[in-house]
Amino acid sequence: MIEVKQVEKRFGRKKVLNGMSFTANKGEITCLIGINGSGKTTVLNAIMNLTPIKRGEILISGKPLTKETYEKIAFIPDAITMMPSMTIQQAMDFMNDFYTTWNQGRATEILNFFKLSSKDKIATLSKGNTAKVNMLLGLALDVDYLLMDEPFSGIDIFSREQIAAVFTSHLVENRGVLITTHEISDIEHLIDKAVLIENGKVLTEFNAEEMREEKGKSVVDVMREVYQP
Amino acid sequence: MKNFIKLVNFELNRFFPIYAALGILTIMLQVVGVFITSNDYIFQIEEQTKMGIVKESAIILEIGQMGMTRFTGSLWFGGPIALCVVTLLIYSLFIWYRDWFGKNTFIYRLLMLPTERLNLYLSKAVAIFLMVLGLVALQLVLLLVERQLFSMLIPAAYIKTSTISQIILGSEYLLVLYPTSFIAVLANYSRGFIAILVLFTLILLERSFKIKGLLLAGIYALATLIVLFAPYWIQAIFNRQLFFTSELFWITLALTFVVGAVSIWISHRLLNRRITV
Amino acid sequence: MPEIFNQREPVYLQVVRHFKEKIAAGELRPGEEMPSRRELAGNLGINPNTVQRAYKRMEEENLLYTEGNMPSKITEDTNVLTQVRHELMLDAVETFIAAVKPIGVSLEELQTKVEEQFLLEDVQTGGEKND
Repeated sequence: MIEVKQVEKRFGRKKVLNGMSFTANKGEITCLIGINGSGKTTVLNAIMNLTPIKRGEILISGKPLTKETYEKIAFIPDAITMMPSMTIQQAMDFMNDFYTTWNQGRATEILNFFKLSSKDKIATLSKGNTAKVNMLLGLALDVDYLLMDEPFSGIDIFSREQIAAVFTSHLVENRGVLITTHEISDIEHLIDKAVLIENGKVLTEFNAEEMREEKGKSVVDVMREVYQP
Repeated sequence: MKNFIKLVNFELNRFFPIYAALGILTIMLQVVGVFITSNDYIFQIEEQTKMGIVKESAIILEIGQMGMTRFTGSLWFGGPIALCVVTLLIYSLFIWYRDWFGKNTFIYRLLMLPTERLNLYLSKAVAIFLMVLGLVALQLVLLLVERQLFSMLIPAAYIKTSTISQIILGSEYLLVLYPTSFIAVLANYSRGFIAILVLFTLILLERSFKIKGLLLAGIYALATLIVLFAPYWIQAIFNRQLFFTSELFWITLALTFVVGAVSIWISHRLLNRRITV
Repeated sequence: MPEIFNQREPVYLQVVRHFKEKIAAGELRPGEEMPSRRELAGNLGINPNTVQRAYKRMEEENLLYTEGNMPSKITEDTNVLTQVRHELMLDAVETFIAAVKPIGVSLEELQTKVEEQFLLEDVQTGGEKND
């Protein structure tokens, strides 16, 4: 479980995280929903210790993050984190060099699934394919948790569909997935849990299927109630 | 340790194209310089001959012998070295900032590697240091080649033969790169390495605190200077000689190492707790 | 396969109904193997946990049975199968009645209309099938 507890962070005068708390379970897809600037990306960065927090605590499987945790949790930011001069093969070799949990068999499988060629240079890839390589670099790690920042934003519909297909496949099976989005409709039926945030705070968190069952409300219905009272 | 070596290797490979170009440019400029310098010299000999001076010793009396110091003092020699120094200085900044800027923010990847983050700092510093050593070694080989070239291009009678150590002693700059005593070599190069560490700490301060960080970096740089020159300040304050020259050497060297250790410690803390993507 | 789900009704119940319809229509025969959970999640583009829940529900309703590590199969119990048919029919009729009630038509009128339309549709779809 990833536990975010009462986390606070400021950028200058602005409180980007204002006592944010939520959990993301293993074996579930948890979706952080909020408009741009609500603190989604910042909280992912904070979970990965890529940005300091002022107050609060973040635990991964009950423990604070250490360097070993990077073998258990992978983050896929919204831009690719490899040098554009590298080929896909070189990027994979780099990952293989540093991570014991890198699974080259899985990487090759994803490469084929996305119809990518390992000889291609990252700089020459289309937006959609760059996003796929970015996904690949995270998905091919045998980690317990995957964090993805806006995996669907700014790419073409076919790439979006291919990436959505990842969520229903064995590639994320039994792992905990935490993704952010400002546009839920693409993936509403894919997620287990929705966490609605605004101004660095969680407004509500709920299980999507339970919400449908108990209240007959879709995720979008709840969003409408919460964001437009 | 294994990850550290991989990172150093990675950083070296990353800069290699520019580094190789820099090496080749240095070789080309200096070799061209050798030809032009010897042509000039031969032209001067011919001028003297035209003016009716035929005896070699008489010509030498007029225009002097051709010695390596004539060349090492010229722009053809100093220029490429300055270019290398400037390029590596700029790259010492760029080696960090390139990871933050652009659409592909590689710093995410580096910070998420399952290894001590201090390794990033140390590997970048060692990479720069190795590149300096590489160029210094190249220059030493080039000196030998250039000396040989001169002896081929200019009549033996006009050549002032000199050993490598004579060549080095003849140039202030070369004396910094190739000090004559082993202790001085260690001192100069550890000072150089620690200078890189301090510069990197300044960069990390800026990266961690942004605008406020610039101020902190300024304060840290000032503090470093105060500490490094403390013995001199103290002497200036008391207005008299308190230390022997050799004592000053050892005290400043020790202080340099203190500054290095403090820089590593600060950077370690910044990378683990303060750095932001 | 339905690609777009109703977002207000639990997705797992929609999956269950989808299978009931197929069973009632005879598209899935008794004893036939079900796709694996993962496969179905991929085909429908939904969360594997949701499929898991749907399968669990269908097992509870005795629509499916699983022996050891074998894939789940459609029940061969004819009682259950008839029940499914009845249930679906009842559901549809209830919806239909709820829809026509406000119009205030009489049962006789309705019966004739239903018969007429039913036969007409049969002819049309039958015609299409023969193409």
